[in-house]
Amino acid sequence: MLGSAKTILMIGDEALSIYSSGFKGLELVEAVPWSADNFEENAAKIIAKDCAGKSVTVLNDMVEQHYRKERVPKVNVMDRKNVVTRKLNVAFPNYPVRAAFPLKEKIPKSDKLPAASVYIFAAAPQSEQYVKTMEAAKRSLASVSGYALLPVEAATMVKTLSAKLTPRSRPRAKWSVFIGQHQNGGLRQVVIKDGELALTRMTPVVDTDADPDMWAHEVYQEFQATLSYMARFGFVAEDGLDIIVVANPAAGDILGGIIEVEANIYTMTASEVAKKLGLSIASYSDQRYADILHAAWVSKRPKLQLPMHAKELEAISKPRQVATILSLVLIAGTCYFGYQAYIKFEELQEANETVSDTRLRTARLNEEYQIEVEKKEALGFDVRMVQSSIAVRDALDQANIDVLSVIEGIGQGLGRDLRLDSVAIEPFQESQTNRATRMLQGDFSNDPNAAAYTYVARVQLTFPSTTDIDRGNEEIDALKDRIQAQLPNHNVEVEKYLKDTEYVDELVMGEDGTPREGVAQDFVISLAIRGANS
Amino acid sequence: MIGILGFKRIMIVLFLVAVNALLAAALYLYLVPELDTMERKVRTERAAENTVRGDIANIQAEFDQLEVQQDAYDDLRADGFFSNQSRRDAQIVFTEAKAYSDVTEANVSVRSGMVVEDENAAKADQVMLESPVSINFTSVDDIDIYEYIHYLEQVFPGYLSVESFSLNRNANVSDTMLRAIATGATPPLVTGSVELTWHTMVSREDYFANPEQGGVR
Repeated sequence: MLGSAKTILMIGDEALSIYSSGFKGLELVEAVPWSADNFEENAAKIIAKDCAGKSVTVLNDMVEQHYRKERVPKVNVMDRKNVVTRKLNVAFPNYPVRAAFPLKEKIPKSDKLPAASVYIFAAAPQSEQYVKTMEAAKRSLASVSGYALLPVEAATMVKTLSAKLTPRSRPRAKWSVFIGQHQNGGLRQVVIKDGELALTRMTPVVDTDADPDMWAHEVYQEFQATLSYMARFGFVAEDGLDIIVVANPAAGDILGGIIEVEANIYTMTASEVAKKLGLSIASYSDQRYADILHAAWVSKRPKLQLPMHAKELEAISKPRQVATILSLVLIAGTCYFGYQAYIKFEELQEANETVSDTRLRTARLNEEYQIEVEKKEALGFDVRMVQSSIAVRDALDQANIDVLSVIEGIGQGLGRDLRLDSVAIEPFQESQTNRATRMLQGDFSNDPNAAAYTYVARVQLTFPSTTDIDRGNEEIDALKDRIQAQLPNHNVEVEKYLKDTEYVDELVMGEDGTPREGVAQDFVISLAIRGANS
Repeated sequence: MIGILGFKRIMIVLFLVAVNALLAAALYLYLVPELDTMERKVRTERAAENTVRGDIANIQAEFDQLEVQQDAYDDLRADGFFSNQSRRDAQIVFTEAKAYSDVTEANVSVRSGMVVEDENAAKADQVMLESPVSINFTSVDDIDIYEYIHYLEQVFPGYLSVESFSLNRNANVSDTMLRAIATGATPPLVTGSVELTWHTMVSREDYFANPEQGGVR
């Protein structure tokens, strides 16, 4: 979200500086003094109109900022956030705007203390300036992407700048000091050690370099004071020191000449620094001020190094961020639905045209067909009637049961010695041709033509009771083969052999209802012949 | 909420929601179903076009076949396939069949005809006239029954399709039976039945102009 932040509100001790990125790069739009009448309303108007309501990031550049280096015992990942929050609350109970971030430095486990991580705890007061800024941001209706402390964000800039200025042939300095005067007159010094914020100072100096010598000496005095602090933090000349000063060339050269400490001194204008860092700032900016560089750096960064948490900020930023995300999702949805609707509409148009074209072609073809028909009719053929009636007859032939052919086939199979008792030929029900239904009915035969059969003929024959069962069954099998040979496109199966006593058997019973013993009963055999008209 | 988000932002969100809803509704409630319908229409129209193309190709390529078909058509006409199923003509044929086949008895029932739409017949603006026919036989020999059916197949006006057939031998030929047959008696040794459907094709226009002709029993 911060990547789209194009308006920077820099809270200074004297005024709120409003920066906005435009066509010519980041520029200072207005510095609104805190004492100005209708401050919130005016600042909101500037944000909404002059900055076109672009997303806002608030940068605190006030003197009163609090930093503490704290050790936090190593705990598991789940508890770490709670432990840090608790310690932060204890460290700054009276400052609701606060945050913490871990340093690279780690404290190993010792006899008395467990291993710990080192954090920088930072806090800023909920000052009148802060409240006014938040109110202005709220009234502007611009989305608020974050609130940060300038020195913390500047540390990454100084680190990057120091790295870019150091030639490859030379080892990087352990310490870097960035010195730049801000538009409110204060001199901001940011000191980093091993790429991390070590200390920062904001002190008043003369707000003009009309007398470059005087300006350089005042800045030198402040730098000397900073050096004494650095010495307390363990600075020794052997560590290596980069000093980067933003100033006009004349004043910068004097300052570079009077600094005695062994260091790599770079005095640059704001535009030179911006170019080195790849920042875009308005070319007409005053080249001796450094605050625009901090604003441009934060504007360029995809996310803040240490976003500060505060209820006032979240009350404004969260709903607006949600609304912005929702708007983006809805815009994406609109694009998706719009694109899909466009594609479908195009397809619909295409299909419509295809239907029209096809109908047109069909109509033309019908005319062509009609012409052909008329030609044939002129020759004495009623084509439609002839073809239609023949198609009807063919369909009827297909559905008809050719009884006489089946009977003839059966008769040829029976020969002279056998005579049938009954024959019944009937059409197949549709369900009988379905394989699943047949299997449910116990028919597991794997006949590939089963689905094509349209009728079944059931033939029954009677064999005398004196018939030898085995010989009789052999005769039945032979009969089956003979019928099959006569009816090649049919499926002939023996449904009942002599040895079975199933539903087709005759049963002779006496008057008392019991089977009469001693009465020989004839054998009834049954064959099923399935077929279809080819 | 309006104070924090602003009227304009809320209106933009609401507008976007409305646009999304409108587009989604247009897409899923109109365009997608309409496209499905249209694609089905395209398939149907293409099939119709291909059918006509096929018909044209056939009619152009099958001129020789048409002559053969014309002969078949003439045969159908001669067989009474385009008649309106005169019951009087049918009665004559049934009588002739009985005499021809020597079946002992042939009880014939021709039920009322009904008009049936047929896809092939419709192409020539014709409808099918169908009458169920049931015949119950008794005979000395099953051959007589087969001859009866054969005679009908050859002579009956229109098309007779067999729906089902059954035949039962009621008694075996014994000396007594043979003596009875020798004296001129006709013992019913065989019984049978056949269910038929009498099909003819009639002009839709003619039939609906005079429908009672087809329904006469």
